[in-house]
Amino acid sequence: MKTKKTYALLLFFSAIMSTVSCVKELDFEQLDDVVLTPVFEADFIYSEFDIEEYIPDGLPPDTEFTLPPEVLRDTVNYDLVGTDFAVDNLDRVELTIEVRNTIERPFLIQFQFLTQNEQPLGQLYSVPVQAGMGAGTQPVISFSDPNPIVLDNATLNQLSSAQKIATEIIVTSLNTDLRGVLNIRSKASYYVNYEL
Amino acid sequence: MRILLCLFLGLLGCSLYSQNKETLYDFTDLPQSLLLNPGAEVNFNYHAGVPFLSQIHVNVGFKGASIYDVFADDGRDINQKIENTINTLTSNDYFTLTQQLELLSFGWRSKRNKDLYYSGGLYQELDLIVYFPKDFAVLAYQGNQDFINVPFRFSNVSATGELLTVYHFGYNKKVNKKLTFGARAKLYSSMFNFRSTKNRGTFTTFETPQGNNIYQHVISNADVSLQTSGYASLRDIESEDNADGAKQVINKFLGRAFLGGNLGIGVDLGFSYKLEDQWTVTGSMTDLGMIFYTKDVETYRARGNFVFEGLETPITDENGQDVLDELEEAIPIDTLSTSYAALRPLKLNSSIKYSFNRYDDGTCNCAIEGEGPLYQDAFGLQVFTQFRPKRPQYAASLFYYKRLSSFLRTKLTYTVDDYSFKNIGFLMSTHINKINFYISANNLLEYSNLADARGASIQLGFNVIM
Repeated sequence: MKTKKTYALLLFFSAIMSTVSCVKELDFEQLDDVVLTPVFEADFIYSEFDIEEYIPDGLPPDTEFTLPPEVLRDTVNYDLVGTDFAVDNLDRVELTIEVRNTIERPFLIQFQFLTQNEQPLGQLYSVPVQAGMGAGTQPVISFSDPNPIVLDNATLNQLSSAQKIATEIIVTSLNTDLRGVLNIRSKASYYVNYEL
Repeated sequence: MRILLCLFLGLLGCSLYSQNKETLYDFTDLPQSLLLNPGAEVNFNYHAGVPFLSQIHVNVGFKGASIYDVFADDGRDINQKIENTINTLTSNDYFTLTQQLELLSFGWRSKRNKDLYYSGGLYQELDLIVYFPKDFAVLAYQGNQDFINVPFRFSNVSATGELLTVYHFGYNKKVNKKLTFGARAKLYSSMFNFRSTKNRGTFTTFETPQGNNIYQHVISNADVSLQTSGYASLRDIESEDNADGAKQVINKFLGRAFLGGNLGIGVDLGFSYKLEDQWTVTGSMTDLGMIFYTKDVETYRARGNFVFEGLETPITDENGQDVLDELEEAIPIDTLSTSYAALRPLKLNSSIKYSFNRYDDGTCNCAIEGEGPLYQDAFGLQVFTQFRPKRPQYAASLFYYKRLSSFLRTKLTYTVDDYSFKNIGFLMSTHINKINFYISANNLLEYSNLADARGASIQLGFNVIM
């Protein structure tokens, strides 16, 4: 009799466990709605243009001179926006470009995305740089126009085969008496939109 | 999907068992209590576990969050729930999984000395703990924009996992009427192990108003390593046929299970002491030991410092062009095959118990031992500690033991631990002739919704006890 009771209790206990132990109100289909939207801040291009390094030897004081354009041109490898991940999962990229100038001349900085074969892609971006107030003074700070430069998803699609960036510093003419430095500092904010 | 999960958790539920085996500890009617305290009192003369069925144990624990926190069907946006959960969790929260399957279990009382009881056996164990890598979860989920000048710490990455078999043999001696002492020797054979603990270093994006560029991205004093054993040779199994590949893996594991793996040794120690007739204190220390990983070892280690300030133009000789190449050069990933040793997770148990309500139904050995009859009821307090990579886990339980009849013995526990403050556990053990069947569950209050539980368990097993 006791044995039967024990078995009955055991059965009851097991039955409760197997029926009650369940998972309520869970919805794993919500996984489809998961979107990762981190924003990553990363340094972009930087450059320092110290005019003293570019003054040709043997010129008398207070002489105007020009630099051949190729001297102030450069190409760097940059394939971050040209990857499949970027094209598929970047909502936009915002470029902030800040130029500090102490040279008493205005400049124009231009950059352009290029393919592997150096074919231009998309538009040419320019940053007008105001003239500075001379070596040793507080630098005059200029930003890109617009600031920041927004590469939206459509633009990123256009740039999908970008592998390089060409940069160029443009200045009409310089003077052997000029002193000072031009500092280009920039960052990119990558707005990710990654759906699981 | 929901049905599948129900089924899965239901099945899991049938074999769940808490890592802290609070219902089984000092439950001296069952031989499995000797695995928790080799110095537990033994009131039987012989036991044999039904092979593969004498103890099935799985424990799943989440500290800090539950599945329900994220997947509840409550109409809230899942991304919001994930973000809330990430914000709530800390790097000391973890997911843990322990599973044990007793393959063999036996024991007998010495014929020459009635005060000696020997026991031995073999069980398989899987033990996994993964700490929540909070800083990197935040980095992946939110990015670094809101965390400028804030370090992301590599020490957040911490996990260990082990699959092993344990061969053990124990000795239990009733020293006198008051004291019972026991020890158990263990031989570990590890089939698979990985560990990534003691990682150091930080990744920080500093704002640098006077620097070369707007930011400096700095990896500072990084020292990150992953030790593995039993992995390299599995990776080398290259079979076009999946079934054949699986067979090779299984054969390798079986070989390692039967002492072909990385070996280790350990010991369990324990005692029971009757303070007065009705008061008993017990204590035990289990898995004090270590495993020596010498075979099939592969360690990956990355160390170094790296600073990134952007792409410099015009390019000079000092700055190259490929950031990833530079990173690899600065922080190379070395693959080493040096041996290592690791401690087993040490567990401490102790209890104090007050027994009352004597009975004598003629089944006990009291007459032979010259002692009074046993007690039907007992209550007391138990504490449990397990050492883990970051810090120990603790639990404390109040318990009530009740021998309802010679057929049915039960124990009820209330436990406070890392996971919950309302953990009710229950063990029921039936003894019908020599055949014993026991079943135990904890977190009973959470049982109506397992997904919201942070650690739920049932365990069961069959023994022959004389």
